[in-house]
Amino acid sequence: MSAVGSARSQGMVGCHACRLLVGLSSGASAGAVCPRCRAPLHSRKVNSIRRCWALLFGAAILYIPANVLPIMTTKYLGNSEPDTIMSGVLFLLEDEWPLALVVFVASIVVPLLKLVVLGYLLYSVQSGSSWRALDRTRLYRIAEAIGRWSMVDIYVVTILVALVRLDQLASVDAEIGVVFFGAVVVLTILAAQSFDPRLIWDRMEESNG
Amino acid sequence: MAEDSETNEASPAVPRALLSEGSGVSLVWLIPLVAVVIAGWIAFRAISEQGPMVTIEFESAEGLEARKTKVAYKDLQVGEIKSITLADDLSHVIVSAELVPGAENYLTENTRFWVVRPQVTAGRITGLSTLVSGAFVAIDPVREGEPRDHFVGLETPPVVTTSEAGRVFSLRSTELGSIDVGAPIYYRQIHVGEVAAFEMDPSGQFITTQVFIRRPHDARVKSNTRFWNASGIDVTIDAEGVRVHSASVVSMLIGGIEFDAPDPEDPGVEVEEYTEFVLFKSRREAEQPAYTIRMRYLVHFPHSVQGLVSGSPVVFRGIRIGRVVEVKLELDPSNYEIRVPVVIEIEPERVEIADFEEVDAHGRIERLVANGLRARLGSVNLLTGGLQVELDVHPDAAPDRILLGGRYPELPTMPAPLEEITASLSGVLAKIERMPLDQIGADLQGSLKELRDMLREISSLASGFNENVMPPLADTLQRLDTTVGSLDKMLGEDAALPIELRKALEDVGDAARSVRVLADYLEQHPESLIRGKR
Repeated sequence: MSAVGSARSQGMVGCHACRLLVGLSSGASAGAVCPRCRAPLHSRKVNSIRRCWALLFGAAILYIPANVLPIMTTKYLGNSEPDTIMSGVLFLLEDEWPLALVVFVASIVVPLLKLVVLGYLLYSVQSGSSWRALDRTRLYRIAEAIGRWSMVDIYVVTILVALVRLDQLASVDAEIGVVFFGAVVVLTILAAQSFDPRLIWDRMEESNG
Repeated sequence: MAEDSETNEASPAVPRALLSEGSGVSLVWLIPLVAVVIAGWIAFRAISEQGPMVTIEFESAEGLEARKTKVAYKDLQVGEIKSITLADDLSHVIVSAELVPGAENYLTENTRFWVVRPQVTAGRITGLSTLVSGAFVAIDPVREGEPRDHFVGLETPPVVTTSEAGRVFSLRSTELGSIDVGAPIYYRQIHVGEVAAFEMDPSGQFITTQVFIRRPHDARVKSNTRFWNASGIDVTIDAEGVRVHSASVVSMLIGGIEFDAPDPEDPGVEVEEYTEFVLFKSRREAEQPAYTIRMRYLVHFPHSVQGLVSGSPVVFRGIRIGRVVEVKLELDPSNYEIRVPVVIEIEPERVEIADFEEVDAHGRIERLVANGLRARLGSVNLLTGGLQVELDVHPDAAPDRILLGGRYPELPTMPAPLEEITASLSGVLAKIERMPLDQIGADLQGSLKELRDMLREISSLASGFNENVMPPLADTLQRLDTTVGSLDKMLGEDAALPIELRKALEDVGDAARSVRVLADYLEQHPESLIRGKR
């Protein structure tokens, strides 16, 4: 695929801290440090697949309480009504369907999509698939870029809690579900970061070579 | 290792990496572990805090809303309605509610649910707060009983909830008498409880009213307590006149029950909950001693019994000993005679027996009849025209005996004093009727005719007398004049003759007066012609 080959295939590694190009045989990467700044040297992100899997599992588990538990409680004239993400979407669907769509995509589809996409990428890397490597890299970039937008929900809740404070008349309280939802978003962001897209191409080289 | 790097010929200018010992133990798996722990804990809490689900049937879902309406006990939320569905036959709604954990111990067959809505009745106003907060489902939890999870909700809030201290008693009556659920119970006009429920006996004969009496007043209900209906205004017009009685304004409007002990000297015995009492129709009825033995007798009256009704008193020498049960007409098919059989009920316990004989009550009555016990009608109230049956012993009555063999033993009767007067009066009238008034008139007419003839003869005689006798008579008069002159002298002022004459005339006047008196008397008492002066 590549005429030059990767740094790794040339027995090279760049220092993350001082950007010094260091020669490192592919067999011995653990424990190597930069001879100039003594920063640890990694040819690839350390334990990328393992770490990504762990974060992904954590996010997937927390995704359940994030959607089942209410994220906020609206109190209006003595009537308190807890809302989950889905019930909010259904409420908006009645007369504000574009808004409902936005919330649905940002709060439900995106986290789920990230979980699925990252899971698929990890699986494909581990199984050594060479199928549409370029598209898979693009998929990774998209997943990494849109993940942060899921935080919109968290912002909406925090702003509502801060603004709607009319004592007996009306008030909004955050519920435990919002914590789980935030954890899901953060964990998926971390998982996306810990994934090393170079692994996609490494497999390609290995299978080619 | 360093030697390995130096042997690398491919990039001699590139510095070699320094290698150091390090371990690749990854702590990243703590993250999913923590996530699992947290999610597991949340799930565990959700499951362990999952309260029991119950379904409740209600007539309508008015004011109820799924996932909003709460279930409350003493105004504290103990659950929430999850869904409301229609029953398959559309006759009612089924409300599913989730209760707080631990509530399952209180979901038994005796637990009741009802909807609290604003309610304004004559007696009280409840549920006003639900005007703002919306209706809620109230629960009356009861620990005792078979557990269950399906309930039929009450349509009206129960008067008595289990948490209230007090006891329930049953009252038995033949009619409800304007008492409704929630009607007050009074003890000496203090409001001490409410009517909790009433139901008809399966036979339809009696109505059992459940009354709840709050602590500590429930201890005042003893074995000898009398309950009576204090509903409305008790206006009684009976043999003893008109009486008005009422317990309170509230009971006047919505009815009520009062209770008290009839005899303050008798402390009575403690009673269990759900003891059954008799509910008397009025205070007066309740205050009368209760007699359990009742004996029925039949009496036949030959005359009209107008004014005698069911419930009229039966008295013995003025003391009430029973009542009339039934008054009806009876046709004797053998001789087509219509009689009035009257069934009376006597409470023999009212009669205190000084020296008890070993004879049953019927036997005693039999002896009394032999001694002259008779029943007769008596007037009890001239204003209302009410009658009563009077029993008394008439030793001089014609001997008679009690008639057995019918449905009830029959007591002999005798005519009432009034009946006697009526009978004698009608006898007098009959005698007057029998008098030959026509003949008397005819005779009188004949006599008058004769009188006229006689007068005519006298007139002709007078005319003859004028012609023949007058001339000599004038002469005679002249002579008489002289005679009178001499007679005048003879009689004079102080003569005896005029005095005698005046006396005689006075006698005649007296006689005339007595005749007039006689005529008057006869006019008023024509019967004296026959019976003589009385």
